Amino acid sequence: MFWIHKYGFTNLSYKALYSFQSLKLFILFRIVDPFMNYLFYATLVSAMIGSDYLSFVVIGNIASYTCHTIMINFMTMFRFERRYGTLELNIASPSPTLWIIIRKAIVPLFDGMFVFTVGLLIGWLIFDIPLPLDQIGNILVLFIVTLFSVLAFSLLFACLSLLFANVNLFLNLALAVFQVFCGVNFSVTLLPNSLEFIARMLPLTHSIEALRSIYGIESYSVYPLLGKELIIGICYLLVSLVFATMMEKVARKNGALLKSV
Amino acid sequence: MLNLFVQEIKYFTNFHNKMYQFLLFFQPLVFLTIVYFLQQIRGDVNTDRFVVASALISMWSYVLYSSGSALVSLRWSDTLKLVIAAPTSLFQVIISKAFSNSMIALITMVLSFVYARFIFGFSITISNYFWFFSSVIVLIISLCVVGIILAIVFAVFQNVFDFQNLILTPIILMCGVFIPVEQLPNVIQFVSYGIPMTWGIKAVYEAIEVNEMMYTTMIISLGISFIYLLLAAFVIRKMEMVLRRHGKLGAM
Repeated sequence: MFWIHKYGFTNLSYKALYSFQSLKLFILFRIVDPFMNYLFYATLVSAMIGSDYLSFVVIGNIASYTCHTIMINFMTMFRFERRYGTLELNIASPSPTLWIIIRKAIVPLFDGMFVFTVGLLIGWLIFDIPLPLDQIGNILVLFIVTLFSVLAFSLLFACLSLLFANVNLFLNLALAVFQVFCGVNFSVTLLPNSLEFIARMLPLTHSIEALRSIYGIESYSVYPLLGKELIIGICYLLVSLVFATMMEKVARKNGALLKSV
Repeated sequence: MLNLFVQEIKYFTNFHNKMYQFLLFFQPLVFLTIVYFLQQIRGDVNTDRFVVASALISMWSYVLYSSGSALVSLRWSDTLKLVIAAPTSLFQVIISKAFSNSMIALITMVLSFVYARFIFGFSITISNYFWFFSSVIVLIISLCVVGIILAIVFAVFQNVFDFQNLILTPIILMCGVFIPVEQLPNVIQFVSYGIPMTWGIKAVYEAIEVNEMMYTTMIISLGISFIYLLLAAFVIRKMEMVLRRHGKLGAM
């Protein structure tokens, strides 16, 4: 009973709000689709500037796709809650809203872990990018730090999405900004200074540089980059906590949660 | 028929659908930004192909999401019964939808060229505008036919619509948007040449270079599109009969 109570909530969230409930859908959208995404950019780069740059782009896209997965999951979760009218129930429940959100983040977290791991395997087996097995420890640390910063950003992003009546355009634009400004396909050092400054405020930018450095594709020091990523994650978490608390207060006062928007 | 076409254009160009706004206006911008910074890594890149690729990707995305749902959306809006009962044939309804979507997709091609020229400063060398515009018309026809095929496939087979995102990238890669089809593995070439869009895309690239093969490619593209159109007309007629008789079919 204890375990059902402890994990039942996450399990129910998964059943209610996660899009891919069958093994077939999971394989198609968590293995085939990411592979197609990596192949798309690998082909673009090979056609445009040659295959020397392929590993740079594939590694960038593995990190980017993981981030997309977490962001989309988080926002879908909020969207479905809003659609089914259960968001207000979460706020009205005796459990703290933040605790509810954190427990619901477990599914996007596992999903992101899976996509990241499979991405690295696809990179190794199909794109011939050797896995730096001696750097597994660093990859694990990078993974934890990146997931933390992306989850913190996703929380803020999901809260902000409640302000928009139609979230699709908001989501697509946000994903496009990440694709362009986080150094996924080219180094952020190529961006003009002002844009590079903004890029370095986003989660993922430093993680991508660190991941490439672990793979020996770029030559930055890994831990200073991860330190910056962690600080960025903490900043986003603080902002999102303030935002979520404000939202909760407004919702309790008005008896509605941005429903009229 | 013309009235249907005009109504479809009006309906889709009100841009209430935010997804279409992204595909038409923002997607080419994102792709061109990536191309812009990639070409800085190696300065001697001929960007013409990638400016056109940007347009083609957005055109294909738009056709996939709009024409693909042309029939299924009739069920969602509960207007399928009215369409089946109307004196206008189902084929006319679908072709007007697919053609109007292909024409709207043209907006993204124009926008890609405008963005490329005025935001990113890419110079696009089109030696012969007559042949370029002719190839674009051929491409529009092939996109229209592909749109009709998608509408049928998504309607006839249960749950295929759920997988439309998975079709997006393979078709871009197989139809020679980045790499000419001749350079793909033989098996993939075989499938690629069976897709009308492959020939439309090939025609556009050849028309930009004024390649002497462009006339042949355009004729093949039109020929393949016509064959698919005849097949589609036949299948839609059958579908219409089944729908009239049984009231349901596949996902509808």
